[in-house]
Amino acid sequence: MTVYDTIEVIIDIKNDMKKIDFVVLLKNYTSGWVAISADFSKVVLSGKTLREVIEKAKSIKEKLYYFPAGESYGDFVGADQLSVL
Amino acid sequence: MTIPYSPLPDIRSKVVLAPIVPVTFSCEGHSLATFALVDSGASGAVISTVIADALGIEWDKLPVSGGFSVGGTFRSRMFEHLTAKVLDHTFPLRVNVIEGIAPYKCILGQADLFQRAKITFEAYKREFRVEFRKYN
Repeated sequence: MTVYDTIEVIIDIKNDMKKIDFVVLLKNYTSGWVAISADFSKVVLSGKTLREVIEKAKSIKEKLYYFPAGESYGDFVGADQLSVL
Repeated sequence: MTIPYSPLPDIRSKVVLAPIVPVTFSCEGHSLATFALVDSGASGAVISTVIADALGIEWDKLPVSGGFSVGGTFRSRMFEHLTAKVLDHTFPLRVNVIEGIAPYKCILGQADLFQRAKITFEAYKREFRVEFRKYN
């Protein structure tokens, strides 16, 4: 392995994104929408509608990612074949 | 960048794995960060009407057209003035705003993300890789 290969490996490691685990994040949310922290580690806000969560988030400066809670993903075409029981 | 497949919930207590990327949409002063399914089988990007509302898109005033997928027929409206930011890369995006799409509210496909980046799926490793093309 050359020094350039080593640098590429280091760059690859630095470039890997951490897993976004919606099962863990949404464990306590069965409906509505949530706002997830910028490091994807926790739910910061929740509400019945996306509009409501966005309104609540106006006082928060951190970037937030919005995602629906309560959806069931197993029925999406083919999803059954790539699942973990 | 290598991205692990995301575990997603299912009502039957099993975990579904899917290639998901964070994406930030912008449109005329509105912005919304969410997550999109990276779907090599999708012709182009779609968003739900809920996300369109949050971006200030008056989707109900756009011309409606019918479409079909493996799941059946749907009503969609083309919106051409969106900007998407994925992994620090920003690009213009045409999206179909679709009524009642579930469970994914946002999907990126062949006409958009796949034109911008080389995407390698390694489902056996539970991960995929997104390498954006370099433009001069």
